[in-house]
Amino acid sequence: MKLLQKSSGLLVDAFIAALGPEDFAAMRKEKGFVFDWSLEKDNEVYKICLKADDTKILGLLSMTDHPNELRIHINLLEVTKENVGRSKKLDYIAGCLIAFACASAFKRGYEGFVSLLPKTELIEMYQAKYGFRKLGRLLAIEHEYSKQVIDQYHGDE
Amino acid sequence: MNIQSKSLTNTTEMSKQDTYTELKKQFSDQELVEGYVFPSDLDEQEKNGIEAEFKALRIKALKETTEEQRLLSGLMRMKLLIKDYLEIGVFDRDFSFAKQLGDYIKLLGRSQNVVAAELDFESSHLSRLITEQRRPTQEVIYRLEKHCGHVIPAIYWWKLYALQLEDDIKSNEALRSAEWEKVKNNLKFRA
Repeated sequence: MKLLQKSSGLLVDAFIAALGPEDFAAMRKEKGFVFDWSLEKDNEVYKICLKADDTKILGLLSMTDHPNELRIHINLLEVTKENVGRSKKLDYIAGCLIAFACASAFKRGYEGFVSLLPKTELIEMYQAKYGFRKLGRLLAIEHEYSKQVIDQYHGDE
Repeated sequence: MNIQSKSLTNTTEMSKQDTYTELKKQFSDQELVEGYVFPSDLDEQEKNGIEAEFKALRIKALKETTEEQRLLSGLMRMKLLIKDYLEIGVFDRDFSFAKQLGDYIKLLGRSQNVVAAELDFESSHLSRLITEQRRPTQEVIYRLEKHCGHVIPAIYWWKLYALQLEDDIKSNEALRSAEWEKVKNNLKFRA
């Protein structure tokens, strides 16, 4: 998968991997994360890094497997603050992490079904940006919409 | 890692709502969805209510899944597992071209004869590909790419075979010896 380097307009190679105990130990809020990720230890947590620099975590994803409902739920996703907003250095970080959740949901036989509980004010934005639809109080994505997110952010390389 | 239903209870010195409010002052809604999925700030009772309601909706949605959606999901699963396998790059018989082609036909739920006709092959040709009596050609690969609705690109089908061939080239001592026997006047260099 590739991230967009805003300064050069170039696409740079990135990868997603499970967060190891050493990563949790090294994580500090002052490294650009607002939320306390040590509280996510009981969930599945993944990091995204550039292939050229695997020491710097650019974003994190916490998700939970609900095998009885054939779904993956995104608990928390956070991009480092320097990569959010108008002055961000790298783009597509959140998209790549959401696409990772979608890919996991296909691979586990859940038909690409991913859910999240949105802030009410952001519902329409998640729908427009990633193709989620409202299902009860949650947002969900599956099937061809989940495929579209994967195609857009992970591609076939 | 325990991945079962341990819903988020993320708290910091600031409450989750305070954190969100702070971030909202700095970023537009568009920027927030490009940077965050915020943790739940519901209490257990509210959360359980939402989860119960959602479970019923999810089960209903599963029952309404169409055959086309099931097929696409099966193909996506196959493609993504192939992608992972190719990234690891170590030959595994479960991911031989022949095995994956056989799995693809099973996924379609159509007979080999029907699929062979759709690919414009003799039925025996498809059968030989599945039993590894024939090697896939570039033409075969392109036809498969179109047949699967471009979900699994030609290069994935090809790399499945290429990885197997690479493994065989490294390890097929019988063929190597047999072919070496046929070579005459080969170049010789001092060690």
